[in-house]
Amino acid sequence: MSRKIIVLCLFQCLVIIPALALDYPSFTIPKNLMKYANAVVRKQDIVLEIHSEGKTTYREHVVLTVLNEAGARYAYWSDTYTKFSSIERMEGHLYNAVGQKIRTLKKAEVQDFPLNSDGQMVMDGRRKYHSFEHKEYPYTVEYISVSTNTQTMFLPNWSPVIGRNIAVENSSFTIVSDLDYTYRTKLFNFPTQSVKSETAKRKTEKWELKQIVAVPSEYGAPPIHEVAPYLALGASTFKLGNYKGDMSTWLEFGKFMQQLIEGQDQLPDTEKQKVAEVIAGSTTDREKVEKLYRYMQSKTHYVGIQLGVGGWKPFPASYVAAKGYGDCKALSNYMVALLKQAGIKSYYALIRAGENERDIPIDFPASYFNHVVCAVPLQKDTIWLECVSQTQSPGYMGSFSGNRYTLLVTENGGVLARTPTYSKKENSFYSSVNANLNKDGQVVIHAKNRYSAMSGDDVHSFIHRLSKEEKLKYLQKNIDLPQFSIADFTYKEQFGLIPEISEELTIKADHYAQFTGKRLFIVPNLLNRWNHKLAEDSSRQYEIILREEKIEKDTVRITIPDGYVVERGIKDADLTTPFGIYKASAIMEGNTLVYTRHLELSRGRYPATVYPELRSFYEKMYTTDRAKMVLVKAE
Amino acid sequence: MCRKALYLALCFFFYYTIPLKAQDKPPFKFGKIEAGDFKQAIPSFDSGAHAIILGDMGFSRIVPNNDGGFGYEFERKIRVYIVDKIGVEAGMFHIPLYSSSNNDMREEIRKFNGVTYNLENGKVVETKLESNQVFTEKVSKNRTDKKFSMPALREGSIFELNYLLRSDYLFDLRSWAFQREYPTLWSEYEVEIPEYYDYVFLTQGYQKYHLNTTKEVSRSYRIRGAKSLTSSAANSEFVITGMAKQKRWVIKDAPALKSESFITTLENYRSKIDFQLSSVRYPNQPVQMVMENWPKVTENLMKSESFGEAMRKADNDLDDVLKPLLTGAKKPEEKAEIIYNYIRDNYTWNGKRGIYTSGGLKTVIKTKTGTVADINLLLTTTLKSHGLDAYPVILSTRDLGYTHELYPLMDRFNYVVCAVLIGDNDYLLDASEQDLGFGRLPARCYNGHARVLMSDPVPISLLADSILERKVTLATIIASPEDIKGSIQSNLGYFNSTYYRGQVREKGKDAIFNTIKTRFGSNYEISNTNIDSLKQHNLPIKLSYEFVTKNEDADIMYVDPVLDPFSKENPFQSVSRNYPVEMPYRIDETYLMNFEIPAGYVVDELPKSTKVGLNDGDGYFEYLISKEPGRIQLRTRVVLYKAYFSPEEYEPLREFFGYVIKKQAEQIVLKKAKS
Repeated sequence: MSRKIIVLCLFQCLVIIPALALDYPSFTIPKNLMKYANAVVRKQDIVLEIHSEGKTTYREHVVLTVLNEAGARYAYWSDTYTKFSSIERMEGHLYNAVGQKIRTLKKAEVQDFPLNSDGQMVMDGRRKYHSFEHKEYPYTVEYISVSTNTQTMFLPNWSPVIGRNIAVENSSFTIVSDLDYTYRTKLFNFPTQSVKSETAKRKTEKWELKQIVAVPSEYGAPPIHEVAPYLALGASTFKLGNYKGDMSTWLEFGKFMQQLIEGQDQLPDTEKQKVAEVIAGSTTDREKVEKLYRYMQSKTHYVGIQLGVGGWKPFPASYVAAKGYGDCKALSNYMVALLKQAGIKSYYALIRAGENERDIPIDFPASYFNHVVCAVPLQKDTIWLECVSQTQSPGYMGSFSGNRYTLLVTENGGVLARTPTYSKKENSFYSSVNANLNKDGQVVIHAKNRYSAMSGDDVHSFIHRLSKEEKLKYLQKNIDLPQFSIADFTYKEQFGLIPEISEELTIKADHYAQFTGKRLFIVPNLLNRWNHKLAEDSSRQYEIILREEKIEKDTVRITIPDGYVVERGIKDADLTTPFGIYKASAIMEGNTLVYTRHLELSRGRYPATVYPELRSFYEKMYTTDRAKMVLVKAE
Repeated sequence: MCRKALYLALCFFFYYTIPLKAQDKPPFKFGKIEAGDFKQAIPSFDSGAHAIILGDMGFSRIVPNNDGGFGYEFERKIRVYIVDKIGVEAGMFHIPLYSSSNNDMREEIRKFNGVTYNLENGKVVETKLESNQVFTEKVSKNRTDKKFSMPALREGSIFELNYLLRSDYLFDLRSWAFQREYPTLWSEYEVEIPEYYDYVFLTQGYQKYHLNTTKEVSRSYRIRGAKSLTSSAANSEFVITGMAKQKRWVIKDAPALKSESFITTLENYRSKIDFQLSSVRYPNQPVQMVMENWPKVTENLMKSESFGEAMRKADNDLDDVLKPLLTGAKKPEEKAEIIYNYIRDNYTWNGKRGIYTSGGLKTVIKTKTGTVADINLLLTTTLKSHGLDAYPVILSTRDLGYTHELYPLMDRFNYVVCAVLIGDNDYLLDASEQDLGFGRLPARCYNGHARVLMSDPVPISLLADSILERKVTLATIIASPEDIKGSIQSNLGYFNSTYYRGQVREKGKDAIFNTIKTRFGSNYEISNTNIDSLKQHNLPIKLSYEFVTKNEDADIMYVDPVLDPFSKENPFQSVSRNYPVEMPYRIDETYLMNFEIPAGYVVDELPKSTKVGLNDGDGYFEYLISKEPGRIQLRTRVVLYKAYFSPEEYEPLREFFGYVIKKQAEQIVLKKAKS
């Protein structure tokens, strides 16, 4: 009898306790965590078990409450799987605002698709993805998943704050490993230390964080990893397929990469002959490099085929020689092989490419890279070659790969080197405009512009990417005039370490100026107007990072019908701020309106307190660039 | 008369006896490339081409498969010339192959050949596409792609590709696009269909056929692997003979399809042919209808688990929650509106379209979230169960392209709304959009033919021409030597109101006025901001605020009288146009301004009043300004009587907007009176 009661009691407990414990009502979120938050990580527990150099298990349990539509983009589960990794288990649950479970995911809802992004043709992996697609806010999702990996080159980092406007209630990260296994960690913005423990066979290290207020979205703010806690995890010795390596130093990591490219530089005999033909007559190494680079550009194009050792081993140079295509690794490796054939030493160089990409932390070696270029050290300086571009000037590295560290894979191991940076003067834009205004208000504009270095990055891709017809369409869409047609345009590019593009445009702008009975209203700045205003923000928290560094000089001369004098000019602007300099003025010389504008922007990090000043700088430029002059018929 | 008959007879005669004339064939032979072929001129009709499709020929033939029935073979031959480096992208191919998991139907590649030709030192050099360069990628359970990039492509290369594909999907015989990403000099499609199959040919596009012919041929088909009902033999084999119809279409010099602004979808304008199996007639067997008519399709939909059946199962599910809300509601209109409002306000659309429910409606009721079909079918069934005359309406949104009124091709429909008939009034409802009012549809639904699924389904036409976006703005400006201040009140059009309701919901009222503040700049102070009728979904929104700024020059004042212009730049920037302009609705925008002339000032210049018409009655613009003692009054109005304009009407339309923008930018000049 008594036994029966105990059993019944137990049974009831089993039923009741989970029902209480698994609830995540949204109203239990502490009030201070709601500030700036679109979603709140209620809990995230990650356990990474490193069984050996060759196997890891990753367990994650995450519960996220989504407060509004903007937070919904974090309410999903996704993982990739490759030849080296597999997803062992996953489950998901959906809870409503009061924490009642309203759905459990069904296997069939999990999407499974090939891992290829834009421009990639084939990649060695697939992705699984699930989202409840729920829209009734607030709601809570819970995902539990386990995955295993048979490579240890890439160990997961821990970003407890998963994005901007995300608060965190509880988050933890645990590493369990063999006693003799060494991993390396580096902590950023961490308030707490880890707790370590050991058993006879395994050691455990655990980090825990609680109650982290969300980071708001702000204009030009530092990347989230600079302001929120972040743990970087790096292997020491590791395995990738049949290759073994060590990444505790850059030198060792480079040696590992060297293994992967070893012997991939063999060229077929026909290609060797071709190299000889291409460089025939060249006297300097620089000339040879440029000629071979141009040859590579004309012969090949980019096709993303990321196969082989997790997408890390380049296809051999002979493959590129035969097919005329490859990905960044294959093309860079091919370029190195061509140069080697010509007797010039060059390096396969790993880089983290991308516009506005943060610099890699050089004191913590790990696998940060997503791109490969070719570096050619000559006597005086190094020529950098972007091998996936068929148009780039040899030696130029723009916003995609310039001004950052790369890891050169040398015969002795990895060596860090920096790609070129361009100064304000080098990134210049000069514009000289001559225009003629007729009595109907139509203005015929003839502009001569010159872009150099990074000022020309967009124009460069525009002129090479588009046919003449498409260029016309693009210009028609992007020039900021109320109504116009383009009569003519030409582009000329001058290659070099600092490439330059000259542009000539002839534009007819209808109804540009307004003639009334005796007056003429006209905006003297015809083509180059600042078009960015900032919203008011009285509670700015973080530093402002401005990345653009350039000089713009404009001169506009507009011939207007005879007999007008200035009734109201534009006020001369002369601003000198920490962010840059802006000057503009307009005067009449006979019947010619002469407008000059000078802009300098300085890259840098600025304290949050100067935000109002930056806002006013932008606004003054915006207004002055659109200021109307009023001319009146002389009596 | 007699002469005409003779002419016809002659035609007939020539048709069968004379071999294809030169102009009936592409101007080259596949597999035969000579040095001269590399001197390819850029076509004048598409001068911006990065690559040119010199010939693109498809041939689909319905032939016996190995399972005792028919399938089809599709062969494609294509020759492409690469004009510039960007054009090498023309050498990337994805060929999707489908298979079914619940039966044996599948597709496979049978023959595959690709060669790139380059002219090197006057000699034609061939590079073959090797089979290890053709990658297979499983895209989904039912689809596998063959992916490859033609080798050795560069500026000036020519490549040819030839493949043969076998398919069991007779229902959709392979369609053919004559217009592709690159200009096509010769695009040809031929189909051979045995007399046992009847297809509907759906053709569309602006390009003219160079050839469009039909021929009858006699064929014998060896049927293998048939499971015979009468004989016990597992693999009986027999031959049937019959006629087959060969149809051939050729389009020459088709430019690439290029996108333009104000267009529903370019797909509506692509020259192409689709096929739909309508009936099957095997020898000595009755005709089986494959494609149904509208009443039959509707009947099937109503029986479907994910349409009619789903509705029936949920018809009383909301009774309990609605009961307290409906007490007191007598008139059917009232009832319908309460039910509509309840579902609209309590259910959230997950952004997915489609005409079938995502599962049972029970889950939808539990999670309060669903697809457009989930929500509007729930609405329909709930209205019905409360005694209202409600029906589902299926349609296709503007971005997907038109539907067919004649043929019930269900895969062209992607949206469900609800029609409720009350007395003499019909209302169309969409409860998936949180910001809509009763009897309103979102602009995306106005895409021509839609079908009300009554037992005898009724076609209706939802035209953008039939809806009007009316906006009225009232402004007052008061100037003094110290400052210029005023107030603005905008009564927004219905679609714009919906947009603002969404903005307020997502970002809050402050965000709306912060945008206005940023637009005016920090020299202006904006106050007394107000948004009216946010919650009254049937009414347009009223947006009002006041502004003040310092007057910087007291001697002469230049006043912009139009503070809320129609637009600052011409929405039609492009000088020319290939396809019609399809605006979402008609426009009627009025701006009224009252300006008080400050004491001690005189009007030195005033813009002139004017009125211009568009295309003889398609619309007009008026600008009426008048000066009275102490004040200036202005009224401007932009009216378009239609939303759809043909390419021929483009130029005047562009000129019209150009004029509106110019006129609305004119200023009033005041001077201090000489005392």
